[in-house]
Amino acid sequence: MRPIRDASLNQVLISLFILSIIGLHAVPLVAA
Amino acid sequence: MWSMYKDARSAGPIEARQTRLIGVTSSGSTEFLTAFQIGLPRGNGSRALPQEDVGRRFLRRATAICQAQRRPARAVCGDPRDEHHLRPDRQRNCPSKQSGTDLPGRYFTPQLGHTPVESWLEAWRSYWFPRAGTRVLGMTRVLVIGVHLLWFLPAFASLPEQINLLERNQEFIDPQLLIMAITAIVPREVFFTPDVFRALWLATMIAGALALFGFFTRTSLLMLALGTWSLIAHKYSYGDQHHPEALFAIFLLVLVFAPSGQSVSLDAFMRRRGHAISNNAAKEESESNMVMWPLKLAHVLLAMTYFSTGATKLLSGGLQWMNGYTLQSYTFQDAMTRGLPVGIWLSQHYALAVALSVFTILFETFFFVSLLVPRTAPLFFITGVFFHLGLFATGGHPFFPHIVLLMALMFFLDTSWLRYRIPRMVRAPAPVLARKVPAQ
Repeated sequence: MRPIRDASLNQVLISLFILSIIGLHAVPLVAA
Repeated sequence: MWSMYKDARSAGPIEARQTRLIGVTSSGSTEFLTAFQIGLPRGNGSRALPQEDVGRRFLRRATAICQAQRRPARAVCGDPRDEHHLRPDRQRNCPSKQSGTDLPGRYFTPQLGHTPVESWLEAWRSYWFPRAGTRVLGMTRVLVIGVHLLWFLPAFASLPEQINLLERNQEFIDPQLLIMAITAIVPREVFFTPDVFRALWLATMIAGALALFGFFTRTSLLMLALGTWSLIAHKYSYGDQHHPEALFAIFLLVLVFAPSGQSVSLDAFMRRRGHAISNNAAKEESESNMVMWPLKLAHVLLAMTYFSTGATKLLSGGLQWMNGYTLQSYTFQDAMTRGLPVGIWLSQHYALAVALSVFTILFETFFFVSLLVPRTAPLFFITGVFFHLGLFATGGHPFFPHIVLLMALMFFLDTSWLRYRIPRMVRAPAPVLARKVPAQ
């Protein structure tokens, strides 16, 4: 298995970006 | 390599020419092999052909040696030389059981790992960052930016409309977040003037044209995204707010952070001709694991948007939303206001309104199934295109940006159709088919 630490910084930053966008969309959805 | 060199030196004039070839290109193994393979006879190269001369034999042996050196001991997933990740029939037998090289659109299934956390991280990475050809994203860019530049910007954020809003309003009625941020830095009287907006609109169009052709692609995309965001945010800062452009605008920004210009672009063309703008070696690769995430994010956001609209209908109206009268009423109001004969016709057909209400709820609420069962995704995308076309015909709701996103997903999220070959029976030349016809 390839170690997780191989994930590049780009992938980490974009993962955070994806999570934040999905989170921003999910908050009103859950609140409704 | 040295023994080959010695062999070549002791051989005749043909071998000597090939020796120079080795000397020039031995550092770049791909060109080296390609150059040698050109001279090879057809066949698997495992046996000497009767007419094989000294030069050809040399080429065959050299090629065999080089291929043996290049071939890994066993197939390794993720190795850019191994293309099994592009071939569905070989994925199941992947020897190292690595994820991250899956075809786009596979299940979000955690792989076996050392710990649960590692498994989920690996599943996350294999879902968002599979290795894929950059051509996919290049073609997506051309489709999306082309439609945006030629249709959406002139039609839905047109310069006359923007200037009209500026001239007829002294103040914003409900300024959007981006507009509030701009006015916090630059006073309204300075930035929000017709002259500045003419320049902004022109700059946005120029950036769009550069992004479409892929010249300084990501910089152009950033300029285009910022300009588009400003124009749309300004349009909706005077009380009348709609949302067809929202997801599309997010997708424009997302393209900036992906290798959108690595293929199908002037940048790539210039790089191939030896006039690269950037000296970043990573940009020379035709594959990347950063290609698919913009499309996957668009898919997820579309699923969340549709689920939100379906859930809102069910939460606020319950199952009564599907009683037919609701859709008849809404359609009649919109169609009368906008003069849409199809909508007026629909509003007079109760049974059809019930059927379309049920269809709307089912489609919107269960669109997310396309994420969980990727095989069904094309069906949802095609249905979505017709759903929005129907909305426009009956109610005048211009969700064309959603249609473009759905079509981009339909064509480029799963690109297995690119490898489709016409069945041999169909593509057989006419003389072959003619021979199969029994003689009369």
